[in-house]
Amino acid sequence: MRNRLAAGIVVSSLVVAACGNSGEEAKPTSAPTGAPTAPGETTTTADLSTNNPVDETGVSDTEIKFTSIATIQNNVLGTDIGNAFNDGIDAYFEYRNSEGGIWGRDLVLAKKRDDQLGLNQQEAQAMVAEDDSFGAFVATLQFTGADDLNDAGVPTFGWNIHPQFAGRNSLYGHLGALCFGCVGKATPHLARTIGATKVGVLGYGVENSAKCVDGLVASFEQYGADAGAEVVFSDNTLAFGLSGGVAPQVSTMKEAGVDMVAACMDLNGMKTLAEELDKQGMGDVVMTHPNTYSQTFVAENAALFEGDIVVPQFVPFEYAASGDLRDAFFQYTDDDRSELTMIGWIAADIAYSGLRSAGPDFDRAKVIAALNATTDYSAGGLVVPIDWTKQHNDPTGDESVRSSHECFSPVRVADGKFVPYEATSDAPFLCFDRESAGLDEPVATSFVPEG
Amino acid sequence: MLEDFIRSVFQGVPVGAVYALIALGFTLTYKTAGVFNLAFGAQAFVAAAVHWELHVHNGWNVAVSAAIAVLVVSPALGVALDFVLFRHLRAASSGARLVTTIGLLVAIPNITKLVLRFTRHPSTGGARGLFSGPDVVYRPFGDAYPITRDELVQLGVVVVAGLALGAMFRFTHLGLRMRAVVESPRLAELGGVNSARVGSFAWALSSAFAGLAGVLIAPTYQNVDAANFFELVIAGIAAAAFGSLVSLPRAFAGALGLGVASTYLATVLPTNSVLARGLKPSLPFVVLFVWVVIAPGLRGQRDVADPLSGVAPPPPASAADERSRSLTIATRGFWSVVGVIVAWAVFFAINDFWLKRIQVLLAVGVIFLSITVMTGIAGQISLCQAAFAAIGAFATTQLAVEQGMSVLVGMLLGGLVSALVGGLLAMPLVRIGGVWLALATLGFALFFHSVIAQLAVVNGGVSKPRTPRPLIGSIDFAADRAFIVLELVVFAIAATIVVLVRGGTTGRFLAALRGSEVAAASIGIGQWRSRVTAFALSAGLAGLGGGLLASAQQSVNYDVSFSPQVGLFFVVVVVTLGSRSIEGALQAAFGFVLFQPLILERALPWVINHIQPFLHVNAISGLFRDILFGLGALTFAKHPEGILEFQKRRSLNRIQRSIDRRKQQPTEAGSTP
Repeated sequence: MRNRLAAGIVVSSLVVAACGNSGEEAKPTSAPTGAPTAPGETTTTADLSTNNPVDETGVSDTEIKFTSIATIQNNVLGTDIGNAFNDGIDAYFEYRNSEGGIWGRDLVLAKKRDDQLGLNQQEAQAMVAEDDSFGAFVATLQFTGADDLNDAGVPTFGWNIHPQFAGRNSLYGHLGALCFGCVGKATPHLARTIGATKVGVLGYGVENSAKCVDGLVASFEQYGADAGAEVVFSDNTLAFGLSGGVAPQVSTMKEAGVDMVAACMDLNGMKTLAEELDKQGMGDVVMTHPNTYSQTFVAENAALFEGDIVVPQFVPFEYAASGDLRDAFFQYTDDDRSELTMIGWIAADIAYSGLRSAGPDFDRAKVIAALNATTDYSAGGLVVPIDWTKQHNDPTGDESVRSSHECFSPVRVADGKFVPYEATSDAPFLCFDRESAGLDEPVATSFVPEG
Repeated sequence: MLEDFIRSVFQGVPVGAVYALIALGFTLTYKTAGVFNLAFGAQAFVAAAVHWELHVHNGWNVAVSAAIAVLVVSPALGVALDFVLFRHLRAASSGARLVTTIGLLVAIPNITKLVLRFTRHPSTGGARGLFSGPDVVYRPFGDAYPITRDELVQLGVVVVAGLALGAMFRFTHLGLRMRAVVESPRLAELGGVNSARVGSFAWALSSAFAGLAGVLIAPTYQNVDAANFFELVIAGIAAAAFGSLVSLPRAFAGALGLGVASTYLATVLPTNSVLARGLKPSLPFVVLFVWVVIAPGLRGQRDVADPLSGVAPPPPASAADERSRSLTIATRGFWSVVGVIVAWAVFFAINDFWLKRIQVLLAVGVIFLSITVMTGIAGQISLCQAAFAAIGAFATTQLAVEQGMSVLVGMLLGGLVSALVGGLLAMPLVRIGGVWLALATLGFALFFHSVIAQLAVVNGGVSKPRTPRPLIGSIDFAADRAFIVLELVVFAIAATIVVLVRGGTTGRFLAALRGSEVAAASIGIGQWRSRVTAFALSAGLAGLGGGLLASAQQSVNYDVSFSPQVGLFFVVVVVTLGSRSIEGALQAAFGFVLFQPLILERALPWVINHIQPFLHVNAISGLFRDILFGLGALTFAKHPEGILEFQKRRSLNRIQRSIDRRKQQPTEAGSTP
């Protein structure tokens, strides 16, 4: 028995010794970039009714069909992700269809798939195999189907919280490729505005969060002197959800005299942290939140978050900024709109702008090529402009592919509500000069297209 | 230093009180029901979910909703579990009862979600504390040592409950009767004890305790989720193990010690360090593993008093081995035809989606063969097979991507690495056996999950590398159908190895050990070598399957494919459908991979929509898959060969009887004058 097994292994080893791996010679799979079509150049509003015959998946004479893959069941955050995201897409399509759609066709979110947290790749593969949708929308907590969508050349638009959006040229997040651990000016500037001098930085031990902590620490190392603040405590080893509590860390921060906490955690973790700060008599310490842009959540925990600063990834609702797309968003969505509703709206707008730029003889490849040639997509001023010629790439360690803008749009919690902070409704983004070596004063900016 | 420690005591005791609630409840269940109840957390989740629905969602008074959850729903659940399940399992092996509780662990939360239409909400919806939550803070020992009202309540409840339970066991007839029923229900009945009633009361009491733990602990987390309770139960078990599952004071002390230790570590370990990142979240699992391995009191402990339950009758021969020659020919003919049809469908008919599912199925089939070796042949329950598979998957990917090695070589080496880890892990564990081995393997799985799988050097960092497909000469296995052929070859080799081991010396030794360790030892069969071999082989197969799965999916989807919860589900599916045969593993893989997309999402809705005009069904929730397999595992004690093998035996017997009758009729007719 032993001899037979050993012989089997030897034979197998001989066979595989001459083996290689599939695709080693080939380039990494990515969708074609094609010849760029300058966005908006070839078309006018009047042209959009042009209905040329198009032989492409999910496209009929009357409709362009899309599928969404979103997390609805088993969402560990407990927030509404999938339904809110789908609502945003539906609302956007309703808005565009009310204006006549595009290329003589209505935009339709024909299928809404629930990846149930664990079935993302399966749902992506099913979507590709069924071959009945032009493009996909994605808002999930796992993105294991990224390669399946990208390999199939499916234009995919979605909620970018995943590193998988990087390096795949047919995937478009509401932000460009994320940088986990990049140095930035925003948080040191916030410390400067509130007069904080000693900062604590906390994050989970999971990779993205830990790297975010490293990035914040590095940011203060670079700009802390200008801001008059330094990091006196940091911990990127906390258990997800803070299940073991965070009391020792808060005690250490208290001893160190921390007067501002910057954290890389979800909203539930932020609440646990706020409770512990409160418990140890540090309730007045200002926290900066990356993921707590939820009106209902903050209203119900008003006292815990009073004075805190939240930085959403788009112009917060509380800025009465101008812009057609923002106005339409409020017109076409219900009062229970949320962060994910806006993300869905923006994702749908990316799809629309790609179709529009591709022209009346559009297909998937042309849409992808047109979008990838776009250098300043801003969803009508709702997000910091994205340069898709470079922002498909992870900018970690490669400044050449970082956005040329460094802007953010903060709000502060006051009496359980978000209120504009530092920026104005006319100019809701605070933008730094990327060329400036020090911590310059940000300039209030608007990206709403003129006219 | 001293100040740090004192502060850790103050901050760690509330954490320890949470562990103590679980540890006391777990010990209570073990002492009064004799069951190593891994579903304790699921019972706690039910109470927390009911409390949330009534209090937070429907606005009921907090005391009323908590009382209903703890005093009505939880005891009723306990009585139901006893009535339907556990009173019938008193003479079953501890392993069978453990599998039953794992099945409940999978089924109960999903049933709860389905019945209550329960979904998680952020902390606005968390089950708020009973006494105004955490915002009321007391500072009896100064500003440095604050304590919230919630924490005080938890601590108070733990102390009172511990004293009450201790008093009940020590001073009341009821406590004595409960212990007697656990020791031997038949002997207790001879003494005039109604063992059924006492058993039901014991289950009601332990379930109420689980409910109390659930309602009190829920606010600790910001949303109500069964997974939170599962991890807490492991910490609670680690504490309960200090008391060898029978001593309430030692369990209590163990829980507080664990809470203080974890807080102290968080204080003194250097922040941002690998050590802190690894040790802080995994401390309870490390403690559990180490304690199970080193604690002298746990070695050789017999957790079932009934002497007959320690001797398992030899497993029946498989139905295939017992059928007649003609039936064997007919069966093989039938399956050959089915095989040809399936092969035709795979290679000529089905689309990419189903091809990818079949790729996953075959890879998972290889992983499930590892459970066939571990549970079906060796008779042991290992709960870390998914971790072994992950080791294989990560090793395969890293060797192929970082070292530029052939992915096939990577798979083989990944399997060998897994086998090595499995063998090393087995060495201290095989002498323990039974539920303790299962627990230690669960501790290892959770440690792997919390520490090893999070290391960038293992998982490839933020931008996960793609696992390549193999290339042999000019044959490129990037194409899905070609890869399926490769998987079939690998599965056939793995299955052959399993069959050879089962029929060889090691397999026979394992069968003897499974029947009776004492009897096996008396004829010179040592358990160490055979079981370590089985463990290593099982881990190696899991690792090979993991590498194959990574190549099939072209990435290591750790959270989706290899997490500890997925590993528990592996065991549930395999023991439900058949852990003793190759076809059982394949059927289990079919159930795991295809039951939801094929049966629940397509076949059943199609049937429902075509047999009646009133109700239109798009897809049936995936919760049903988990519920069905979870409930299926409950049959393990009665049908350890698996449901499908049992049904196959029944069907073959029926057919054989029918054939025999037909043969007999002409003879009888011919003999009639």
